[in-house]
Amino acid sequence: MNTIKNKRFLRVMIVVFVVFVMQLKTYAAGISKEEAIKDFVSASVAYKDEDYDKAINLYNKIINGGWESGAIYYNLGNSYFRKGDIGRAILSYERARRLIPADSDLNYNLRYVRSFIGTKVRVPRYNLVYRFIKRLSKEYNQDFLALMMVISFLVMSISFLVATYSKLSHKNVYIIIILVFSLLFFMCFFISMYKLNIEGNLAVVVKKTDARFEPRSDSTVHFKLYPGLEVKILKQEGGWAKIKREDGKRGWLPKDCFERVDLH
Amino acid sequence: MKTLMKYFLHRGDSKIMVIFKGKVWIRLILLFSLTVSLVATSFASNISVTAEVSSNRVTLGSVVQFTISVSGTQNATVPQLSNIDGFDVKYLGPSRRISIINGQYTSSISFVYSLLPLKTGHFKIPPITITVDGGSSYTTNPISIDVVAAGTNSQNSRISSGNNSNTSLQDKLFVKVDVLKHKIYVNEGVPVKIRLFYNLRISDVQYPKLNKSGFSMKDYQQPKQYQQVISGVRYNVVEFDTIVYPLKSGKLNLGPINIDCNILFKQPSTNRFGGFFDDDFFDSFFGSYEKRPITVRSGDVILNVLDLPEKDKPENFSGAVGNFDFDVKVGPNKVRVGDPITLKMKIYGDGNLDAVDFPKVEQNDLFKVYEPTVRREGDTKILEQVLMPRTVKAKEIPAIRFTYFDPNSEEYKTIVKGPFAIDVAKGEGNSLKIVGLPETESSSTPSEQLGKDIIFIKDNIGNLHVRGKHFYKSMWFYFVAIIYIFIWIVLFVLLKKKNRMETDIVYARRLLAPRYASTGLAKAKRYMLAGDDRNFYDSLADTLKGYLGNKFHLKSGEIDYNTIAEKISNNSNLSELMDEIKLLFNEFDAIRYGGESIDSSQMKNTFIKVQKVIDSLERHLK
Repeated sequence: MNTIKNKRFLRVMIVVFVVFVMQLKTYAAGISKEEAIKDFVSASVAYKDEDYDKAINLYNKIINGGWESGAIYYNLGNSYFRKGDIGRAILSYERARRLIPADSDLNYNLRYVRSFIGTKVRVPRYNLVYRFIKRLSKEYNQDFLALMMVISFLVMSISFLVATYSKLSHKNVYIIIILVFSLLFFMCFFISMYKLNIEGNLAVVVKKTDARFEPRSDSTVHFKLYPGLEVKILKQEGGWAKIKREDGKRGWLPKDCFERVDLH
Repeated sequence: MKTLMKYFLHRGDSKIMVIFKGKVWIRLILLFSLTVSLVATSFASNISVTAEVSSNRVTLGSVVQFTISVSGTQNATVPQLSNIDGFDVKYLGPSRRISIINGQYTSSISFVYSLLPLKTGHFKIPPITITVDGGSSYTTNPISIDVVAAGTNSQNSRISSGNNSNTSLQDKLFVKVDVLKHKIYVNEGVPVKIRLFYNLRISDVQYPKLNKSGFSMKDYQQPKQYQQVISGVRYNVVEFDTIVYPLKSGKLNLGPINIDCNILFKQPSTNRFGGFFDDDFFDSFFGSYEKRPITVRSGDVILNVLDLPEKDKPENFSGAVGNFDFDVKVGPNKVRVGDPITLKMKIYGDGNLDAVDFPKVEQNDLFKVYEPTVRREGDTKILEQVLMPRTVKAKEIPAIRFTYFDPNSEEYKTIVKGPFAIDVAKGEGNSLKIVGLPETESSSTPSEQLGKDIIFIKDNIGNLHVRGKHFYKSMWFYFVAIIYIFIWIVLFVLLKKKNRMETDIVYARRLLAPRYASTGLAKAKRYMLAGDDRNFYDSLADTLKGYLGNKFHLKSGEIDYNTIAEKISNNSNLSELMDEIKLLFNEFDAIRYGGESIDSSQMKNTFIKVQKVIDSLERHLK
């Protein structure tokens, strides 16, 4: 009987796994990698010649062709800033930050370009734990966190096995190792979840617009939004989206006024 | 009543109408008081304007009070008295008075002025027009006043008034300006002595104010005070000394020089205590002096300023006129290329330091010259400048020449300092960097001006990957995650089992029974192969009994067929097996106690039987 139960469990797990794998999209690139690199180089040349329109077109061609890297988004952000498009500059920097969050040039430029936003939104002071997670979430990207989770779990498992089944005398050492790595694991896990929640719904305003009380263009204006401001998308309905500004104010925006940071 | 009302309404006073709505006796009282006031008003319409002075004789240096009184009303505009010949006029303020004498109501207002005589003689205060009640004008009577010189008492003043008619305030309070140099060059320091003479009471003397156009001037020294007799009159003197520097040539006017001060006057005719107290001492003691601000002016003071002689004028002359000394210090004189050398110049002397320029040190191939800092310390002007040797060829700082014009000897003089030998060694690697600093950077305050802009684009494409392809979204990550979940489920089960083995003896024995049985069987097989039948049967019997004991949790003594049969009886599948076990038990007993010999085929047969029993028990007992 036991073996039958085990078999059933195994079967369920395999199905779950297959479903997981099926859910994963297969990403295909529209242009070849060599072409992407070639375009990147010629875009950099265009930027240096102050032909920012050409640079923007080339960078967008690479991205629409299905390739990305932190440097491409970063350079695209610079080009938009030189063109005076604060909203799309910040959008590109935010996209770069998903890939290279700890890049000092990127963070400097993002901070600098943000000072050009038409208004200042007062960010409420959160509690210590939240601030800590937020701070860490800005330092690491999702891949790094996933890798850290895998490694820390591996170390934790091996230590656990060794501590349980070997007749070693220093069991306390293993307990400490397990505690440290499980802490690391859960920290990575929470930060990763937080990032998924935040970044998945993060959008940047690219057009000066008004947030309204209702998803109608004749509705009462609630507050103003300037290009470059970051908002969280709460809900989408037709051509409208309910957003939350950093200071907690909520309102409805037409969809063409902002762009999601996460392209998927 | 209504007729009364009509009467008062006819008078045009609406307030009265309201009042007349009370009881009869109150109305009577009000009527009475109204009548009185009406009568009073009719008397008061007798307006008269008079002017008077506190005294018709006044000595120079004291004031006389002039009062214009308006009786019959208080509604009068303040008359403006600006020009009265021979007097300086100051308005002191109005004084109002209301009096009711024997039911007669009088209101009046007085305007009080203080007149300061400016010279002796006979003067007349002209008739003054004053506007009363917003329309009608009244004119005062003219008043004549005699002003006599101080020191003449009232009796002999009449005799001497003719002689002293030209005495004026100017003789009692005046300024004298002395320029103590006659041949004056541009920028030369000219000592000026300003003396204020006075023989009346003054206070709060301010520093003299000069006409400063075309001059610069030093701060005043501490003024001196002393007394001096001029043509038999003793004066108090305040002396101010300063030095002025004419900034251009030609005729320059230093005057008029103004000195502000207050003159103290005795308050006239407020003699409350009689003759005894009419005394300077008491006056000053009780403070009954009036302060009157006055500006004492000097006449024009013309300076004839000469241009500097063009003859022998050196090229590098920068405008220093006076008597100067010049000093230059250089340090350190042993440096590397690119290290700073401080050049310190000092000029001190009695000329106009503001107009003195330091000799310039020119930038050249050998030295880089930074902007100097210049400061003043009293009569000394100090320049500090940083030089930087560009190459080791810089052996000396060239001589520095300072030229000035000495007005005493009327010639140009030049002081030469240097050249200063220096020892320049080869610089270190960073010397280039220092030399390349911007020219304008001041050596004393190197403040950094940071421009702000975005950082330049990246040339390296970095980790180029297919968009959206991330490790955390990849199959591998989920595969690893699921493997982990399996591992942990297995670990959990194993741990639970281990834990039970340690705590649950029944469970542990039952679980370990097949393992012990297999080791027992292996042992028996070894005996069988060796042909040791006694040991073979012993071990085989022990294995079976041990297995059953473990399986049903029995002590070794309790293991016999009946006990086991009891335990198994509830399981119908095992009835056949029970017979087998019974046969085996009997066989073991027979061999153990019978002592008959057994061949190898029987041993093998028994071994297989035991193995079968244990196997089927293991399969069916759970």
